[in-house]
Amino acid sequence: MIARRLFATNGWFTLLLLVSGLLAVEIALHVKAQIKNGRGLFPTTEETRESAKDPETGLNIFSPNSTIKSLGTTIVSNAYGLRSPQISTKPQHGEYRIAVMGASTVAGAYTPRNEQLFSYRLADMLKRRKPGRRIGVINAGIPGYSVSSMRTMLERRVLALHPQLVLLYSGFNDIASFCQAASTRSRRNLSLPYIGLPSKLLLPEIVKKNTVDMRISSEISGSLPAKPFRIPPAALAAYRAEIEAMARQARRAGADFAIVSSLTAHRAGMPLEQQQDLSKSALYYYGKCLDHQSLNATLAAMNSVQRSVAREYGIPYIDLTRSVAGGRANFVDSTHLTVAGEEAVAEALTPHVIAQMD
Amino acid sequence: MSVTSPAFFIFSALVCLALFALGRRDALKKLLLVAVSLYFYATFDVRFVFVLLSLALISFAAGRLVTTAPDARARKRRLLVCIAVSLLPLFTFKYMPVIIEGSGTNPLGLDGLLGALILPIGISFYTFQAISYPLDLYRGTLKHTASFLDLVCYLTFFPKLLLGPITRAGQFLPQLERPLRIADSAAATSGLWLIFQGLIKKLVFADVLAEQFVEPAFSDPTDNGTLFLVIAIFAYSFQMYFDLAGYTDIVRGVSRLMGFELPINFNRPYLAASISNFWQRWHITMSSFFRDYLYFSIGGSKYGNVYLNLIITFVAIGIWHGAGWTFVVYGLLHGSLVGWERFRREARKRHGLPTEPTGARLVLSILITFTIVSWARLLFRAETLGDAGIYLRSLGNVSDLSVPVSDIGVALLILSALMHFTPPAWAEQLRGRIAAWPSAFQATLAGIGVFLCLALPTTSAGFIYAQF
Repeated sequence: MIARRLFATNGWFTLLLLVSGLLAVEIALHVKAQIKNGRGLFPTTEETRESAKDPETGLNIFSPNSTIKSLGTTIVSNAYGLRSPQISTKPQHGEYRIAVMGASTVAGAYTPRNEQLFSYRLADMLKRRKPGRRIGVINAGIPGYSVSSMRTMLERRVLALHPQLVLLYSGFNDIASFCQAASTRSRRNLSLPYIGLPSKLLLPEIVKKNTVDMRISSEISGSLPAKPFRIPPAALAAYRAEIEAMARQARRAGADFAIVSSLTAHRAGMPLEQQQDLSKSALYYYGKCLDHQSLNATLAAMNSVQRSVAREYGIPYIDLTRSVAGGRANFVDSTHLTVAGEEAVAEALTPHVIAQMD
Repeated sequence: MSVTSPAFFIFSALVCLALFALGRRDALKKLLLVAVSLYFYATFDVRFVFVLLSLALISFAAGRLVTTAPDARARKRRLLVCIAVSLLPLFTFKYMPVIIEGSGTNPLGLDGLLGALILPIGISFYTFQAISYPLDLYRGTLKHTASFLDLVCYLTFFPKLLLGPITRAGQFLPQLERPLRIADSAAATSGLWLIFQGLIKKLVFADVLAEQFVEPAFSDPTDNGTLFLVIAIFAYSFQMYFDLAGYTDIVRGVSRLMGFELPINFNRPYLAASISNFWQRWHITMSSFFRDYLYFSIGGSKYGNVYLNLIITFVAIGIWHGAGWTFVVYGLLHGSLVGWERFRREARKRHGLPTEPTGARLVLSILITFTIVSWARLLFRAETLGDAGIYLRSLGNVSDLSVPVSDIGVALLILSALMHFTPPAWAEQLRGRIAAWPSAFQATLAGIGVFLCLALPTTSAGFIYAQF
């Protein structure tokens, strides 16, 4: 009977087939994610939930004291829900404690083991260069953080752990808020809620991720659409204000503060095609409001703000763009580091941190 | 809840299921439709529901007053008063804030109050539908008044609530008097095909053309070269068509699944050989509404000055779209062109010359009409007459011949032109062939359509006509 229906023409049956097909594909994708990354609909007994809410800050953190398998990584979190060694409340006698603030790049979204993170490698390199000196590095990076979240984390959690040096690697999550600020302001509607599809559907995400080339191909046209975008001044001012606030908070707490330039896989000077290829994942996230050109302009504006704050507050601005090369060797995608990239960042930071220690 | 969102289709599917489950209980079905339609409208803003229900009450009362009038003069008087009262909400929400802001005065201290008003989405559309009820009773198109439930069901019917099509009472109320049944298998097939083509029109064609051509060109025309600006004007014409036609197809398809037929809104408008013909093919429900209820009422071609009547009608069409000078000029322009065409046609008739072009002249007429229609749309897209002027002045940048679009943009623009300028019979034949495919093949094609709708657009633009 089903075979007969398949070859009959019935609109309702067509609809049923379509919905069933899409559902089947979605379930298959979730099963594949479960098998490949350990992340899916059904967590195993060895895993715990990935994230929790920090009662002190109200922000998302990793589940404290957990081992989390995600995207081919094993994240071991400490009591504070950070991908970091266990930290005593106060530094040990003679310990030089460093805190690295950031988001998914600092947290090592694609770095298999904690020990391969640049924060851990930095600690190792510093210990080698300063034998006999206790070195502690707090990795306070949590995926998804904006500078506002980083400020809250610094203010309410990290400074209470008495670091002597705070390194800010802010990343680019704030681009999302720039795009949102630039879009049409929504009216204050009093609307009723309605049922939609779950936000964690894999099918739209995977289709979008794997079809970036379709949207940005310019083989025939020879050019790409221009997406004129200017960061709304108020949004850029808010971004600056958060970084300034972190600098002031660190200073008040008696800690040195340094800003580290956020790195991208694509660099000026690379062939345009290579740049576009390397910035694909960024364009996947921000392609709604940015094209490649405006993405570069936005990144430059953010780094420019960081430089300006560093100048104004007399704090070091550590530019890693010359010492850490772009490209696939050091980057998994537009912004996240490979193991080699983590090593390169740690090596590049070491002399600057030693300068601060001395 | 946008009509291109998964939430809308889940919602519509649940409504179809509920209608099916209610069997032959038509009164309950109507109550259900009213309830879900009001809920649908409340997902935009709960306050809008009160505006809609107020209009329903006014319309219902208007129908009673018109049909119980003692004589013809009283009927006409009551009709005009009811129409004026029905237009009050539209005037208050849409035009009064603009008029007061433009005057620079603040009568009765209303400035603050009016500034807080939010234009109820769809008010331009359902106000006309509310007016059509007493009008159709007055003209005899409707033989008897409808029950309050039927009238509210007609006015609130959610697929057509936001952007039409402007369905007249005489077209919809008779469907409520028949047994209400959801679509059979054949109607479901054609309904699904309408939804499918509507989504492709909106999400693939309209949104990509908007993102790649129209937004960059109009956001800063001085930054672009002549060639790109010229192409963007035509791209905007295609975007406008795919935007509203896509919406119309989706809601007609959803309505058909529920067992209701909504009127068509487009008939290959860019194949029109004259501006007059264009308005017989473009946004048909809106243009025919103005023709039947305004143009004929003020005399049409029979009483008074036909050219003045045309200008009045087209200026009204312009103002319906928006409260701005660009829309007034748009209306004047089209009214003048239609008037000129009429004059020329009459003159050729008097001299025994053919009034309709054929052969190569027909092709040329089509291209000229499309060009005029597209360039007149500059008044639609520009915020002010000044902005339109800036766009025109930017056309002088002839040294820049770049066309900054991706391959998808180029492909879709070419496809848009091909779809518009190929014989209508080809589309019908294709539709007929696909409708005869087995369900499995249709579902596969629909799956490919879903893939394209997910893959190609970068941004999801709102509907152009939602601002009207």
